[in-house]
Amino acid sequence: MRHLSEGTLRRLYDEPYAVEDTARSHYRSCQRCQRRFRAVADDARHAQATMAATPVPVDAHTALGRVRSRLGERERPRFVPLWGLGWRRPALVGATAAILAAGLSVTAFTPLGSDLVNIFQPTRESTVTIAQGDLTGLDAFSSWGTVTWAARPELQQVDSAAQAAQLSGLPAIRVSPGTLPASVAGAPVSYAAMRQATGTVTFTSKAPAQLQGSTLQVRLGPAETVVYGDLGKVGAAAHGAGTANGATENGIPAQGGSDESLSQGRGALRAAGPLLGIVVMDAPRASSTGVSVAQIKQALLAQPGLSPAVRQYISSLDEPAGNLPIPIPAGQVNAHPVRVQGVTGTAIGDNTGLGSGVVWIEKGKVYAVAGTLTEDQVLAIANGLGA
Amino acid sequence: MNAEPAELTPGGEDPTGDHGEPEPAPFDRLFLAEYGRVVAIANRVLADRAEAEDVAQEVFIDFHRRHRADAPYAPAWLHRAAVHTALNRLRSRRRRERRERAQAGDGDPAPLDPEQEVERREDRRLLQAALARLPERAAAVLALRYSGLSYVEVGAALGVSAGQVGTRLRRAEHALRKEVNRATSV
Repeated sequence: MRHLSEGTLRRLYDEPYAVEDTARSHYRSCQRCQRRFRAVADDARHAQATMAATPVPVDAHTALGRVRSRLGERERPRFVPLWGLGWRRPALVGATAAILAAGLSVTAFTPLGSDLVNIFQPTRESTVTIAQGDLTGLDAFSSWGTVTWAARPELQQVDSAAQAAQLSGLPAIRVSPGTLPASVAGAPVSYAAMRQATGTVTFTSKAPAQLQGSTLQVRLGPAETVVYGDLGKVGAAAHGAGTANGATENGIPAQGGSDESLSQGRGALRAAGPLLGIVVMDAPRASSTGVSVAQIKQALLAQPGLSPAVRQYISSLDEPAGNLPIPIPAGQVNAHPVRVQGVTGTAIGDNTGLGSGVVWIEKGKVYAVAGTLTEDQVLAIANGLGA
Repeated sequence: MNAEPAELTPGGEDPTGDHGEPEPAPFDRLFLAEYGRVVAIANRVLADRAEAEDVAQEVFIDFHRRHRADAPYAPAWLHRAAVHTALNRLRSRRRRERRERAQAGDGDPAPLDPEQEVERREDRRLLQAALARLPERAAAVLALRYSGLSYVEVGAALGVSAGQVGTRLRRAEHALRKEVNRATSV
C-alpha cells in the first residue's frame, strides 16, 4: 500500500475511526507514516493552541427577535393603546408614556364643550414624585364625568422617519449621527407616529357644583417617535418586568415595592440591550366650555384624603403659568433641571444608573430623549436633534 | 427593506388554530439550530463576540432574502457565508486599524489590567494577522474546523469532500504556524 496522504494523516489525528481500516493498518506498521504523523500532529496542536477561543454563549431566541426586526417584518400595522403603557416600559414607550401620562393627567384632572376656550397649554415642565400609595382613592374622581374619545391616542408603527412625519404632520425627527454612541448607532431603528387624539370629559351631577354641566376637551399629539434598539427584546423585557413587578393599572409602581421585582425588571431591561427612544409631540392642550384650570384645581383640592404628593401634583399644574407636572415614581428615579436646545428642561435618571432621559418643551412641542445611556449621552443627542 | 419574510410568522401565532405549542416556522428552526455555530465561526475569526453576532445576523438576513429556509444546503451555506463575511471584516478592520495607528501615532490608552491585556491583545493580534495573510481558503478551513464543525460539515461548507478537508486543513495549519513564527521572530 502507498503511504498515507497528508490529508489522511491529518484526519487520523482528529477522527481516527473515520479513516478506512486499511489506512489505519498501514499506519500501525509504517514508521515513515508515523514520523510524518508526528509532524502533522505537532502542527495541529499548535493550531489548536493558536485558534483557541473562549466559547461564546449566545441567546438565539433574542437574536432571532433582532433579526426579525431587521428584516422589517411586514406585519399589519400595530396600534398601541397608550393608556395601557406604564413606567417600566423602556425607551420609546417609557418616554411616550411619561409625556402622555402627563397629558392624560390633565385629562383626568381638568375639564371641556361647544364654546371651547383654551385654558391650558404647557410651556414648561416639572416633576412631582408620586408613589403608588399616594393614588389611593383617586378612583372616586372617575365618577365626576364621562370620557369620550373622538380619536384615541394610538401609536402606529411605520417604516421610516418620513412616514412618521407624514402620518403625524410634524417635521421628521433628525438625529445627528455624530451624537449617537456606538452602542446604539448600529442598532435596528424603528419608527412610529400618532395622529392627534381628542378626548372629552363631560362633568356629571356627581362632580362638584362648579364643574357640573361643563366639558373639558384635551388634545394630545400628534406625535412621532424613533427608537434605536431591538423592539422585540424590549417587548419581551418589558413584559417580563411588568409581570414580575406586578405593574399597576396606571403604570406607577408600588412605593418601595419588592426590591427583587425591581431588580428583575431592571435586569430584563439590561438584557434588552442598548436602547434609545426619541419622542416629539405637540404639547397637549386643554379647552373648556367655561371652567378654568383654577376652578378645576380648587374642586380637586377640596376633596378629602388626598396625599401630599397628589396635592402637590394638582397644585403645580399651571403653576407657574404653563407648568406641566410630570409624575415620577418614588424612590426609583431622580430629576433635575438641565439646559437643552437653549431652554431649561428636566433630566430624569434611573437611580441604579440603568438609563436616563431628558424632557423639554419648546415652541409648543414636547420633546423627550431617553435610553440606556448616560445623561451626557442623552443630552448630546437631544442637543443635536434637528441640527 | 426589500425582504419578503414569507417564512417568518409572528411569534406565538398558530395558523392551524390548535391550542398546542405552535410549530416554529422553518426559518426560526434553522436560526435556532445554527445561530450558535454561525456566531462561533465568526468569533473564531474576529475574536469579538458583538461583531461575531452582528456577522451572524447579517448572514441569516442575507440567507433569508435569497433562499428557502428548508433548503438542504442551508447550514453549509450559512457556515461558508459566516467565515467569508468574518474574514472580509477582519481584513477591513486591519486596514482601518493601520490607518488609525498611522494617524494617531502611539496614542493607545492604557489598558485596565496592563499585563493580561497586553498578552491577550498580542495573541489576538498574532492570530488575526496570520489569518488575514493566509490565503482565503486556508483561513476558512481553519475557522470552520476550529469552530467545532466536523470534517463532513467543513467539506459541505467549502464544497469539497471530507477527505480533501484533511489535506486543506493540514496545509492551512502548517501555513498558520509559519505565519505565526514569522511574526514572532521579527
